[in-house]
Amino acid sequence: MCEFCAKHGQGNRWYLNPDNFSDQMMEDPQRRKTLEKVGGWGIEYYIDFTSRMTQLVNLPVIGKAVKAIINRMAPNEHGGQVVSLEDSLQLLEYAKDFVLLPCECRRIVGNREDLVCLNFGPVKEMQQRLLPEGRMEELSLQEARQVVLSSDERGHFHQVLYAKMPFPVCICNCDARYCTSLKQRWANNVEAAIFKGHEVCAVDAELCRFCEEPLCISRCSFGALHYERDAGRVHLHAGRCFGCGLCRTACPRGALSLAARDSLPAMVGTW
Amino acid sequence: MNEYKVRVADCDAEACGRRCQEACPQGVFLAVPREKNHARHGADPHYRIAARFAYFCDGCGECLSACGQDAIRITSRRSGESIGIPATQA
Repeated sequence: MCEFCAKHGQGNRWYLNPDNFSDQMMEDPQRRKTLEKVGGWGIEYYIDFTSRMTQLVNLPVIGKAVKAIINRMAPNEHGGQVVSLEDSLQLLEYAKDFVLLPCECRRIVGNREDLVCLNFGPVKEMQQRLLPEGRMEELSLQEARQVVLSSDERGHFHQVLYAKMPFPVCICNCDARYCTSLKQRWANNVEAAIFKGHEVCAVDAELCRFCEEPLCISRCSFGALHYERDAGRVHLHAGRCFGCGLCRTACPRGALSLAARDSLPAMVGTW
Repeated sequence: MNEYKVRVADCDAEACGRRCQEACPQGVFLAVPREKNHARHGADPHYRIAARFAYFCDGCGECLSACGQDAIRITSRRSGESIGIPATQA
């Protein structure tokens, strides 16, 4: 269980606690301020700002202090955590006012206008107010579920984004080429840029056998799987796994599964 | 990772259609809005290109051939040598 689940999950994962989706969450002035800032600045400006900030952790002498400050402050602002397909679909049951927006990461990193960012809660009203001419598609719950399922099939991992923990506002569906959160985490080792999920991939060594070109490896955005040619099977680098679970759906033998992060001693507390 | 320095001159990103971003397989380039608060004020975004994620550059040189303004320079951190346009595209 991560620290956010302990504080806000009421025995469950923080994004699966129905109370955290309540309209009353918007009564928190700091949360309103965060949402207005991110929406008002423009998401691309916010990404530019945060990516400049996370670079500061590489400065000599003050870098460690900067990293500690960012990791402490980020949960009170805007960030995300990787979630499995099952958790993504379940959390949609507690959300409302679904809208599909173009992914800002894809727009400002890849010059693409892909409608893959599944937002809910207050985002619809904010988008209508702040960017009335921007692209937006309103969705039913069933259509929202289909977006998540289609993204999973395409090989896009899911991330639940919060506007001041523990208020979920979006399921982002992306990959390593474009995801600016992941880039910030990898380049600068800032955990709060994107937290790992509650699970870790597990490989059944008996079932994993002699794929010529393992699809699971190409679907892993995190570089956690490697093919051991001599042994004829896939090897997992658990420390790199973010627990998205995309590898599972590609395995024709069902050799891959997700295990609770807490169940693996070496992975406990590695968010 | 972090093997190359990537420098981008102050190019006209709107004019070329941000071709370097489309070409880069690693997503090294970030389109940075020139004006803050453009969303709040409804103004059109104007971008400049920054090599914000140069850490991920693998030196493939795809961006060099895509850039029509000769605005990108890639240098190896180890050898100090500049990377040129890939031979297949020169």
